[in-house]
Amino acid sequence: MTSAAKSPWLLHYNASSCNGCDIEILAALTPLYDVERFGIINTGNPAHADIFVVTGGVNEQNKEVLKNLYDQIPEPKVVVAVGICASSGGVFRDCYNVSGGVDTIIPVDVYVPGCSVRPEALIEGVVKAIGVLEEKRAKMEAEK
Amino acid sequence: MYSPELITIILLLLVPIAAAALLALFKPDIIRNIIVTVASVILIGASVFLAVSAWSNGITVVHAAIPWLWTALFIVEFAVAVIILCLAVKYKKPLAIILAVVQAVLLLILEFSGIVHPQAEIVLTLSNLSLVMVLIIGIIGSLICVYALGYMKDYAAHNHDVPDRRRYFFAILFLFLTAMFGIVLSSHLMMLLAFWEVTTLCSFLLIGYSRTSEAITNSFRAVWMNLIGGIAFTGAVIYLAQMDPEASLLSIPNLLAIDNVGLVTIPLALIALAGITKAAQMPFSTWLTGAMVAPTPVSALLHSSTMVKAGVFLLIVFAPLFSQTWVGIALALVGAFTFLATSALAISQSNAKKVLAYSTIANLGLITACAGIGTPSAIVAAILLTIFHAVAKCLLFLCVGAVEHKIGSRDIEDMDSLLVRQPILAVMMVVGIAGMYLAPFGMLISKWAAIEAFIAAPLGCVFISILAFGSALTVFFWTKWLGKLFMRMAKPAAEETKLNVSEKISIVVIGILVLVACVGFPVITAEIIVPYAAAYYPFYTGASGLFAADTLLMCALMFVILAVLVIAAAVGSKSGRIVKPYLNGRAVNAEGEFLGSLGVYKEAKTSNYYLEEYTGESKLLKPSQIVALIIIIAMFVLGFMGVLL
Amino acid sequence: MNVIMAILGAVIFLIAAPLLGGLLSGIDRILTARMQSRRGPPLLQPFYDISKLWHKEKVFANPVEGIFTTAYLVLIAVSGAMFFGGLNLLLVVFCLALAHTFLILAAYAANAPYSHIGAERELLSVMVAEPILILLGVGFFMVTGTFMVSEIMGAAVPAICYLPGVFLALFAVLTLKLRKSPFDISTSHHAHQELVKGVTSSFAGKTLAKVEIAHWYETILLLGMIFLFFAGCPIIGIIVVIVGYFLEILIDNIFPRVTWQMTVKSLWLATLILGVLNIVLLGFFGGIL
Repeated sequence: MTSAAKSPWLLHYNASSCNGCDIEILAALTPLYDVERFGIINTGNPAHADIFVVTGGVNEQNKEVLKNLYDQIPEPKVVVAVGICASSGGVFRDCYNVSGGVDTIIPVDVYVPGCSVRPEALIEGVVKAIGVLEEKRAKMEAEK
Repeated sequence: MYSPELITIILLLLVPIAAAALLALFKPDIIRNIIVTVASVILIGASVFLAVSAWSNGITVVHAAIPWLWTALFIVEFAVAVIILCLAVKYKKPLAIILAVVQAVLLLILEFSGIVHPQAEIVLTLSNLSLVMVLIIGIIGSLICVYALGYMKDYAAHNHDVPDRRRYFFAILFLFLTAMFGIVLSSHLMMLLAFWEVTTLCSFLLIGYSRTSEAITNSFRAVWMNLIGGIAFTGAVIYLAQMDPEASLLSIPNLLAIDNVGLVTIPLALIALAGITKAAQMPFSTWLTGAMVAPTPVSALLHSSTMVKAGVFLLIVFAPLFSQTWVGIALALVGAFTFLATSALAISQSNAKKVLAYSTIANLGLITACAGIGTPSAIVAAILLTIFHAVAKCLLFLCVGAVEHKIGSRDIEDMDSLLVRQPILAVMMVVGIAGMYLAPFGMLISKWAAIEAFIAAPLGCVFISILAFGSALTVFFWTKWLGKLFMRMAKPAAEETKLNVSEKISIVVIGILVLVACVGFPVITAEIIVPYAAAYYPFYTGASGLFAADTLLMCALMFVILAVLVIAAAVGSKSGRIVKPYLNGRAVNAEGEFLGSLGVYKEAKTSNYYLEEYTGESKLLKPSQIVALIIIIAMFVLGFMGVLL
Repeated sequence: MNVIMAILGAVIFLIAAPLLGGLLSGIDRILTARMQSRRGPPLLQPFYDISKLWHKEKVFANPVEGIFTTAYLVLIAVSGAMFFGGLNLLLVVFCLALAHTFLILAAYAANAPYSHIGAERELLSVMVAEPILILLGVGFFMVTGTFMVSEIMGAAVPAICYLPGVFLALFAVLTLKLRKSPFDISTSHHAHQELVKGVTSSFAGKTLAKVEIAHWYETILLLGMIFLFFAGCPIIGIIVVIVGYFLEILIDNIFPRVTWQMTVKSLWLATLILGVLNIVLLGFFGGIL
């Protein structure tokens, strides 16, 4: 396990979610679940982040924002789509203003379905993302 | 037969007058350029020659037999009062009228009451302090005049409503230099007084150059405040003249060597007041902040090499006397308090020239504090501060002036990314700002010297506490300015980026001088300044922690680190991905504007902190003036009581 | 001999301070977590963070960020090395201010609103800390007659006896200097602090790692200054340093919502009342002892 896996910092973005999943994400940061045990920190800033946690089905207003935030995160980075809306658009999939999932805008590495997701599922998703993060870092090192 | 030093001094005094006369006569630009350049080269050469020759030959005084000089001096003094009186009447300024009349009457009393017996021979002093001042005036003053050539050309082009009176402007600029040379070389108070009054007049005329109503108001404010100083000075001269029949105390060396200082505390207080007004200390600070209506070369001249430096020069000369009296302590308190108050006031300003003005007043405050304390280490600190302040502040004014013409604003908020838009000016500005407050540059070194001097002084702990808080405020307003210059490119490059040759030469030369002074400070201190202080304090060796070998080594190390960084920044690898600034993920275009939710690009505007609610002029200025006035009154009370330390 | 000691002290600081500082930061994060009824990260978490940041892609808002943060790191290390090398205390203080100027300039250079506000507040924090650091140097001079740390260390009577006010004021300012409080300036990793990370908000990867390491150096330097008050009784000194650091963590968790305005006012008041009064009293009654 490299340091990438031991210190994954999150950036959380709500791309037109109903806030259900967001509350679960924040709940996972509470003392009960204490994600800092795994070195996870909720940063508010793409420059510091490794894992991009996105909720919601992405609409016209925020798809640019989503893309910009993604661009501003330095490599290696992993995107986790949290909740069914982020994964596929959910019940809003066919709305006129909804893109239908995060992967319509940026590449997604881990999908965590649920409406809303449970903290355990979320943590599981992030742990998966950490695995992907390590792979990406190994690939980056190899390319150097 | 005249000695070479005397010939040089005569050159220093007469070349500017001759240049002034010629400049007043000829209008064409080309002739003006030639006269100014030639005169400046002569002045720089003469001042350097004088300093080197006096130092190498150990000459400290020069004698000259000019019997008519005394009458000439009186005519000059009286003429100054009359000119001011006429202008005051013309513009209906009652305060200036009254003060000019008082001044004229005092001069008449001085001249015709028979209390002064002018000697046939005059003595010019070439102390190390005088020579340092000669170098500052000769080199920096001349470079400012050269700079003014290009600047005033642009100024005339930018300000069509101001009549082009450049002949008059340059003539007065050079007259100013003569007066300054006169002040620093005089060893007799009568002579000093005459030149002192001439600087008051010159600054008054230069501040009012544009003849706008603001310029007129501010120039009269400058003149009435300086007239108070002039009156105090004349009062001191009259007091000293009648103390003995020979009027021997009017000779500065005699006065400094006086046995019983208790006898002269009143004239000392008067001289202190004269110094305070000229050095724009609280409560007289407003004349200098108002003086920025004048074209920038005037500000540069007033702030760096002339005028205010005349004020602190006078105080430093009398520092050995101040050190023995409570008048000196009160004077030092005025200075220290001014340092604190104006450093705070500088935070609230976004106008670059005003920030510089407040910073000048603050630093003069520190010099005043050192002069008032007057111990040998304090004198050393005061002279160091004077030198470093002169070069760095001059550089900053010249940069701000040039920037103003190039980007059309002197507001610091408009100077973002100047490093990209005006590289030469911005680099020089960075050098100037760093020179004003960062280790290991000059002003910080001098501040350090001041701390060491204060520790051993009476009430030293009070002064140090004031200095500690004042420096913190200084750090705040300089750093936020510095930061602006480094901001990432958000605005397009200025259309016209070419600098006038004269401006470029002056700015670059002074920029190099700032660095040379910083690197050379141990030599300057050990060879020139410490001997000056030691002349009054035989036991003073100049030993100080500041000049310990390991401290100097560390300062050198810091210089090397900074130099390496500059080189690294210039040639270092630029690899890596540049991302748009973080604006919550909103799209950002090339100009740094973000895409608002209505699909329009808008500027994301953040400004520096100005802390107006704490440091604004409306909050601080009045109370500070009152406090300073109280200290000055206390100074006079202490003077009348004649208490010694 | 003195030169060797000085070089030794400086070298030991340069090598050991980041290790010690990182460990302290790890302990800090665990203790903070415990105070909030959490388990907290592993002890070596700060090192993992740095290692991760070091391997990230190079991303800048402005290329000069890299140079400026390097300057910050180098100058903080130099000022610490001067302190532990026994050199002039005032020089240490001034070098520290120079270092922070570079951090602030790096944040300015990004020209992003969060970064700019962060830089302004960082600048405020430098301004707030400056007077007490100068008074500290002067206070030691008044007690021991020297600015040299090596000679202060050899004082017979610990300086705390004469400088209790300066000590307390420095301790108050430490909350700020250790990046614990106020929440709207601080940039350490506690959840109750500045979300966008103020002055560091535009730094990524190595740039951020350098700022972090510089902070470790600074932590050790500041704790060294605390220790200096107890020169002569090293055991008490170490105990005070440890207890002091613990108290700082406690204060941070008790007052998580202190704003910068409150900080400026309260810390300058503390400096004024405790620090200045101490110095002035010492000046009147003590003189150079």
